[in-house]
Amino acid sequence: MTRPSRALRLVMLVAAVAAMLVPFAWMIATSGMEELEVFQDPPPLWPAEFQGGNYAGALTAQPFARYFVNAGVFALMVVAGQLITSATAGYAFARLDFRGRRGLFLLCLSTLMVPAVVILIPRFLFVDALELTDTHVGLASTELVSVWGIFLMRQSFRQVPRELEDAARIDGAGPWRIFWSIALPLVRPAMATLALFAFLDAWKNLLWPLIVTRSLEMRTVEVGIASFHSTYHTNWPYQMAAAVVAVAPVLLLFAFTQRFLTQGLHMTGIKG
Amino acid sequence: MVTTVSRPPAGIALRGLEKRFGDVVAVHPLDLEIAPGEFVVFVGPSGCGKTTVLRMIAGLDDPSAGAVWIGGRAVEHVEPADRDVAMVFQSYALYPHMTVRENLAFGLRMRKHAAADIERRVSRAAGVLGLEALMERRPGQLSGGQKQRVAFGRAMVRDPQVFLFDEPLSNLDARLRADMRREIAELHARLGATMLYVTHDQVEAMTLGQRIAVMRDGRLQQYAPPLEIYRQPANLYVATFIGTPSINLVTGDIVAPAQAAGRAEPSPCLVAGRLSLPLASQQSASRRVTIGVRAENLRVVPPGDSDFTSVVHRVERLGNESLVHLDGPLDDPWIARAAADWAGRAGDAVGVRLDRQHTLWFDAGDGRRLE
Repeated sequence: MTRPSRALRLVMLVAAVAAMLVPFAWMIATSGMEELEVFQDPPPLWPAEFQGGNYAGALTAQPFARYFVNAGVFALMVVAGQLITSATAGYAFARLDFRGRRGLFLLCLSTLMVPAVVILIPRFLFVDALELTDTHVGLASTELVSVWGIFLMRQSFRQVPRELEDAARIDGAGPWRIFWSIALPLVRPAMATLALFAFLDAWKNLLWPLIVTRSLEMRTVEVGIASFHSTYHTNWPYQMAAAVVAVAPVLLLFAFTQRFLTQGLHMTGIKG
Repeated sequence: MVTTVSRPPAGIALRGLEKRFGDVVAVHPLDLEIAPGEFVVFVGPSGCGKTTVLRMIAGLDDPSAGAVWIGGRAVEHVEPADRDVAMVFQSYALYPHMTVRENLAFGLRMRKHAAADIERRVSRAAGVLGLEALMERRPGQLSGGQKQRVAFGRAMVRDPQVFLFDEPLSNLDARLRADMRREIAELHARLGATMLYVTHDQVEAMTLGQRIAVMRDGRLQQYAPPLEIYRQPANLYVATFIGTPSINLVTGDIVAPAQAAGRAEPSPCLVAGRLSLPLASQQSASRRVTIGVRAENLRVVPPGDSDFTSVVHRVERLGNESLVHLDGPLDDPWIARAAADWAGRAGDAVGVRLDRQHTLWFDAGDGRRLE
């Protein structure tokens, strides 16, 4: 096959970038429209007059400040939990010798084949039985372990040269010290990748917070955005304005961690 | 600068040390004594088990059978950290996320040395190895030779009873290797510590070792000082492994006096192609014999007065000497050393004379040397 010409490649790239950016632009345009302007035919590409007031309106129509705090707490708990469980389990699967290591690892991996929706109700019943519904602990508790994270960390730890650990053993380091002072610092890019994905997953999670929280005080941002959309009425500009605010922290996070992200995925030989 | 070890070096004894991986025997039962302060080199091709022996001494691998004694105590159940050994790895194994200073200090910190003591030992090692200017760099910013020095330094600061080196120079270029070889020898002279050194490089083995252990397929072939290994190799394998250019070999049959009558030999002799050598008494124990002659024990002479006649194929002029490639008794390639200004050329018909005193006799069956 001949290489596509420079022009063709450029067209393909522009098309791909457009496919990513158009929904964003549409979201921002809609967030500035009047409520009925959205329904004009053909729909306007940009509001006749940008309604900045939609933002204030959307964010005060519901207690969004509270939602942001809840989503932040939820996401940070998930990040901390997944970093700890994935790093320790991944290291154990990569480096420690114990009976049934391979079988246990395959068992872990096999859970990836179960769709998340299938275990949604059992998870709820479990959290409910522990009387943890509508609490931060209940919200985060079943999200603290990520099999994907364990896999990612295992692959990363396997790439740490064994001689480094041998050298540390001779230097007098015990298993925990080798994990903490030698292996862990060398898989930082993978940790950053995992942290970012865990944060994103939690931040944009809608279904689980919707099910496990009841009160307004425990809602997350996603649930708040979704609640602009009811059976008989949807305020599109408000919903889009809230969505713009909700993606802002994610974009910022991406901007700061992109370097680690690509490095981490590159190092583990996993394509995103 | 004078640096001395604060404690006497330890001797090492290996008693029936064996390592199996499933059905594969990596190291056959091995018995070996290493004197305190001695420099011993394990040499052999890759896969001969030499590194496995080193790792068992370090405590990084558990033996399948047998025992390691260090400084008069069995260390079977002693953790690597508590064996008082330091190891320099082939890949250097420097911690990439730590500076040179932190790399040097890590082992001392693990052993809870006082900060002042750590500082003193680290700067002493840095001084000896010329690392002062590199202390705040990370391994990624160092050249191969510098990394090697840091790896030595990390071993030195601990002041261990035993140093273990696992092919430490194999990643360096030839020139740097020669420099580092000299530095290691000086380090040994200065520290007086017991050192075990694993290599596949016979030059390193010959130049560094006070005694050399030649390994092959997990078995010890010979354990002796370098010159003895060179002059009195235990078997054909050791004879061919050590020495450059490789020893010249030819295999022939022992022929009784009657059969040899046509050649007018009064006693039994070895007949191999154009060569016929009378035997000393006990050498007749085997029927088929291989003889080995090193290049410096061959003399290229005019065709008349020689042990066999030959033809020169190539002359390598090295400046200090010439290497003459010629036909062996069975037309197999042999090499003889000659003077730098030796006048012969390719195509010359020559005679070759063997130095009988330094001709080595081996049983062609099992390869062992015949006295």
